[in-house]
Amino acid sequence: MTNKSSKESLAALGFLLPNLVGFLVFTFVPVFVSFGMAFTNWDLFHAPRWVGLFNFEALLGWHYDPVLKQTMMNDPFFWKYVGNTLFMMMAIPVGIAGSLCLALLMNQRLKGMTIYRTIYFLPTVCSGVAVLILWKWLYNDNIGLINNLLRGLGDVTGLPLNGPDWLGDTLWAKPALMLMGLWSGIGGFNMILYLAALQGVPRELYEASAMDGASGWKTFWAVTWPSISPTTFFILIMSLIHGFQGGFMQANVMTQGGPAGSTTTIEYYLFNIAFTRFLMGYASAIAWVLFVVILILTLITWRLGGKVVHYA
Amino acid sequence: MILCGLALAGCGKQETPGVTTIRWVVDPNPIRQEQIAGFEKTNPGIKVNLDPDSGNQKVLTQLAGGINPDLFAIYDPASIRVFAKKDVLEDLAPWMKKCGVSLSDFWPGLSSYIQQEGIVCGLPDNCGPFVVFYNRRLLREAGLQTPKAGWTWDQFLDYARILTRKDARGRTTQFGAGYIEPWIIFWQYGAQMYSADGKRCTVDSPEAKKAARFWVSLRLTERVTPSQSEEQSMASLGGWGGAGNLFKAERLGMYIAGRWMSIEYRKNKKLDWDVLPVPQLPGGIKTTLLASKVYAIPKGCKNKEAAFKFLKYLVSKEDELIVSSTGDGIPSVMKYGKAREFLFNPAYPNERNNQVWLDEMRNARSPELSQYVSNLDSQTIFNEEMDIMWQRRQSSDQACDNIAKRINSLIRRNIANPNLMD
Repeated sequence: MTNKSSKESLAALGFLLPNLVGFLVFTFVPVFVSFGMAFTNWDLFHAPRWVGLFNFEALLGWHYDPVLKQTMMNDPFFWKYVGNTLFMMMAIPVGIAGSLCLALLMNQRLKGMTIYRTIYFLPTVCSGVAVLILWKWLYNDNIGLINNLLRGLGDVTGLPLNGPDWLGDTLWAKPALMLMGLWSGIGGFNMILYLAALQGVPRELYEASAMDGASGWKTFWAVTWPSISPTTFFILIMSLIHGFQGGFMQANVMTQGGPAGSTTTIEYYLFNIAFTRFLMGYASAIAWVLFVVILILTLITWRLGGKVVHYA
Repeated sequence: MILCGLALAGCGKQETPGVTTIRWVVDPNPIRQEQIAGFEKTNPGIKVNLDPDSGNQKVLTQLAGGINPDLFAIYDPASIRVFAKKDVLEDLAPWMKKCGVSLSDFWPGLSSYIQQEGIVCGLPDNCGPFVVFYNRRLLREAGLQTPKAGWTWDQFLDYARILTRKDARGRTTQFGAGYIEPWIIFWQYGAQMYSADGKRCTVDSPEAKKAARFWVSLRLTERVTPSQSEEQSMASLGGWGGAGNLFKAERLGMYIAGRWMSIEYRKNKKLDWDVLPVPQLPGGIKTTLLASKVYAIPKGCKNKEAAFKFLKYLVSKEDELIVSSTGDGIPSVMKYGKAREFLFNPAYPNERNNQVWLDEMRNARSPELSQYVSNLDSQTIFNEEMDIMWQRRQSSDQACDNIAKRINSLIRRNIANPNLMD
């Protein structure tokens, strides 16, 4: 290595160091430690004691209840909250489709487009908790704007329109949070990524498509969709990861995980296990099970995605 | 930058020689400074630093990091049990013996706050039985007489019906009563959460089902108590939230709560309120719910002697009367409750019924716990099943059956494999 290139390497390392130190101290080390903790009974107050796979058995294992004559999960709450998390993740494809549609609209050459883009991006930059409190009021079944609009519409049309108790009803609480997530997510970073991808599609492809007489619809499926498929793939994987790790803030601010635990996600459960029950070892085990699930799903998506993603 | 930070971190205040500084982690009630001043006046060798925290999060972080507070507040028996089980708390019994503080000085109902897992975990400086706050003006305008001690739930319901008002569209603008803690009613009907040995959840008993039917009817059939969203939509935020704010906003005729609500209600000068004993079930068990908090010393505390001196001050007459004068509970030491200063406070001449608190305290109970199931698990199950019931997706009888079924399954699991409990 020449003197010049080693100097350049040192300079590069110097620039990278602040971020690298931050990553090591606040991400890598805690992740590494949490793996070890998952095999202990650490409770914050005492030195961790090795318990082997007990936390995983408590989380994923089952036992026979002689009175109910049924096999019961050792942790009956966990599986319910896994179900809640998966249900809420059903908003992911809708969100991706919404972001793409919005990006297609924002990609038009119209006057004032920057203003539109800013407006759609606004929910992403708004403070999380403030937005959640705002939505909590919007969803109030008595004085909330949404139900008042529905009631007003009912008065005008003569239809018995009366909105549900959005956040207080087990049937509606999850869809309500999903709807709110779509509002803040559709115009967010995914739209920006799609916008960038759309602007990167070679013009010649569109020109060739036009010369062949393809319709707009046909052009979209034959040119645009394959060209932006790497972006779609990236967004899908990131959304899956975030989907499994999401739901804490909404539950903490808006519903406290209710009604009847219907909005408690794995992340919110993990927080409660760690910080209200002090079971750090068990919480670490939950986190690592979650990691493995995400990893497996990502690998499957990767394998399947490789067949349909077109890299230029 | 890191080095600068570390250097600055070392530039803390110097300790004054001969003065022991202790750190007190407690909620940021404005009265705290007055309490500290009262103690420091007679104990010049000890300085108390207030470290405000309304929950357990800060204390947890401090304990985990080995930066033990010298004295900290714990707010419910379930949390006290968790701390005691984790062997974090100093047993105060030897300290009490040394200083002449006796457990028999405290109200007997406070025992589950004071003692858990065979040790004295902490001492309370105030407590509060649940009583009925009522709006005198609303009762007067409705032509209702002030109820007398010994009034019944039937009378309570009659009052609540009359006090409930609707607008032209049929929407309720004023509710007769606020949310009632279920165990006040359940206990009066003879129901218990657990069997005496704690090995069985008994919420599916006929008494519990009967109590639940009455409790639920107040909201779902009679419509005299508000739902959660009605509570939220009809009153401002702040205070302790919920129906308590609705009472403060004069949208509620009666509200069953502890004395700490007086702090909020004193702020609304127009609110003409007073207190009554909780209604009783004829032939039922005379009881109400009790709430308190204790101050505990962690085992790792470095200034135990100074911390206990301060704790001793916190359960002294001077301090207990300072705290109760703010409206934050009644004295935890029985004899101080009977003091003239508590029974009549000239700063609040309308509060003439302070004897009600003492009368109710005699029968007040703290929430039930079982050593075979985590209180957080049982509370989660109780609330989940009740949530489904509030949505009319199951009857109160079904809710009681499901609660008992689910909690008993956990108890059986924990008895078979105790390691599965926290």
